Amino acid sequence: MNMRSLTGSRIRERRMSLGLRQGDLAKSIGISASYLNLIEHNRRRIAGKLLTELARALSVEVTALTDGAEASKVAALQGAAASAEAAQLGVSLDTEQLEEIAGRFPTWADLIAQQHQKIRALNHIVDTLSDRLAHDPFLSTSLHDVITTVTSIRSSSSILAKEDELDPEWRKRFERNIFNDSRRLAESAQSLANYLDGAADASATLGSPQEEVDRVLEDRGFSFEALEGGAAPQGVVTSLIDEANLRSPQAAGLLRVVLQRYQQDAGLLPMSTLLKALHADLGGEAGQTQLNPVRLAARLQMPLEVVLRRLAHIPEDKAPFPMGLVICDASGTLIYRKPVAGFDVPRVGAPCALWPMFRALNQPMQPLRAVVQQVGASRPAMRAFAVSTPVVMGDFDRPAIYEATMLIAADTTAPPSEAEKVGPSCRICSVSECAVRREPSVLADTISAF
Amino acid sequence: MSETKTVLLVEDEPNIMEALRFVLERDDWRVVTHSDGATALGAITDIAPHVVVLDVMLPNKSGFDILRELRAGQNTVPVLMLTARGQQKDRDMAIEAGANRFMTKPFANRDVRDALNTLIAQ
Repeated sequence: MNMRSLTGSRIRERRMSLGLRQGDLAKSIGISASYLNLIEHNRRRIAGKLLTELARALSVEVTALTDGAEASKVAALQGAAASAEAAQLGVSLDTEQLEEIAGRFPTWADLIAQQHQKIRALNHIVDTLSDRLAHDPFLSTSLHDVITTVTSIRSSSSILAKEDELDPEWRKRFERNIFNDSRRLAESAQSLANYLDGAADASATLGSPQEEVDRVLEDRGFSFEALEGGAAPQGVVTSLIDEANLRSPQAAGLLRVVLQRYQQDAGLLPMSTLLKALHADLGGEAGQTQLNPVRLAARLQMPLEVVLRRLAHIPEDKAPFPMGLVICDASGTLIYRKPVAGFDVPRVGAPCALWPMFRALNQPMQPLRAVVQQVGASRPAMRAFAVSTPVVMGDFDRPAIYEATMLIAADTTAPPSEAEKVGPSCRICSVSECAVRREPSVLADTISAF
Repeated sequence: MSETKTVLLVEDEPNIMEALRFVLERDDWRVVTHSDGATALGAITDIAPHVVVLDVMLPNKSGFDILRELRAGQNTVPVLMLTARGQQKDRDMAIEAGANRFMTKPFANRDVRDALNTLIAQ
């Protein structure tokens, strides 16, 4: 039976739940009790003004009478029918039966809908955890540390076990190495266990809106061709948000802000214009070899922060070297992160306070540049360029509010000898005696100072 | 008497380096060690070893970057890469960068020794 054909039944159900007599309700809307009786038994179709008046008299929305609670059940069943799990079953589901299931077996329909929601939520957690495992700098560093130490123990112990006539001096040396390595392994394993315990506690925050947005940006390679060119059709941002299939409206709101700024930047500074100017600036007519965003901004007559943001979004195959970008608000919270290999940007928690972007917050509008190098293995020196600019202009009775933007260029000419040593974040920084440390490191293997 | 072969170990973990040095010197290899990624390329060029053992995770520059630059400079010295990550994509990356062999930690000493002998024989 079609859902709309049950409108009368819903009217009757609602009237009875309110304790209204059929005659009283009929009188209140100016029809006879016998006519209302026919309606309530689905023997007269009802629509238009009469339906609206009945809904008002029963204090419900019109759709509650026409579509009923089954509408949401049917929608949920449609979602379950269209899910990947249903597709994997390899059976053909008759979607025309959904209304019947929702109407005749509402409890089963609820159960299917709830299980579908649960599966979606669990899939999301699995995706998020996989994503974290793949991108978590602590896990990567810590596991590397464990495996390296195990390798060392295995190599040394194998010599002790297989060399019958080992010189006592060598034997002593390998025994000492094994002792030190085993102690280091115990500490690494303990810190890893502590971290994983903490990660389990933090699972409540899995899939935060910011994390959802970060994943979308990474999946898209931080590039949105549809927003380039300055003539993007109206509604393209909304379409991109719809395509992202985000779970929460908060994430959609955050993504909208990011995409609108991207679109605005692309309109102000088209990629072709930037690339032409960059080419001319780097080894071209100016004969320069090093990236200088301030010089570039002057050449393009563009605000520096726009140039920094656009540089970071040059397609990989056209960029002179990989570039990352981080933006923080006035509280120091990272609100945008485009990582670059060799410079870890924490996904959770605050970054190292020594990053040049935080100095920039203290010197609004003053461009800063530095060669930086994160502590740890395989961390090359990089060039960082930062500036803080107002996002809310000041007034006589209101201070300006700033955000800081930092471009990180993996330029291989950056000299390690001039690099300022910085960390990723305190939690995963191996420098124990640091003036700006705000929390202990979870790493077992630490060095005393930068 | 056969010529003494030189192996350059580029590895930042001193205890691994010491164990490998011991094992390889017992096998009559001349072992030279280096632990900094930034200067490893220059060391390979200067020392001109018969074979290189190159760790991926090094201070200042990764083993992949060193190897790419080495091959870009037309240097064909055989390279055995050591890494703590054994996924297929890491193997692909090593081969793409120009590695002749790829070995995942933790390894057995004899595996390294056998791999070096194979690389030298090729």
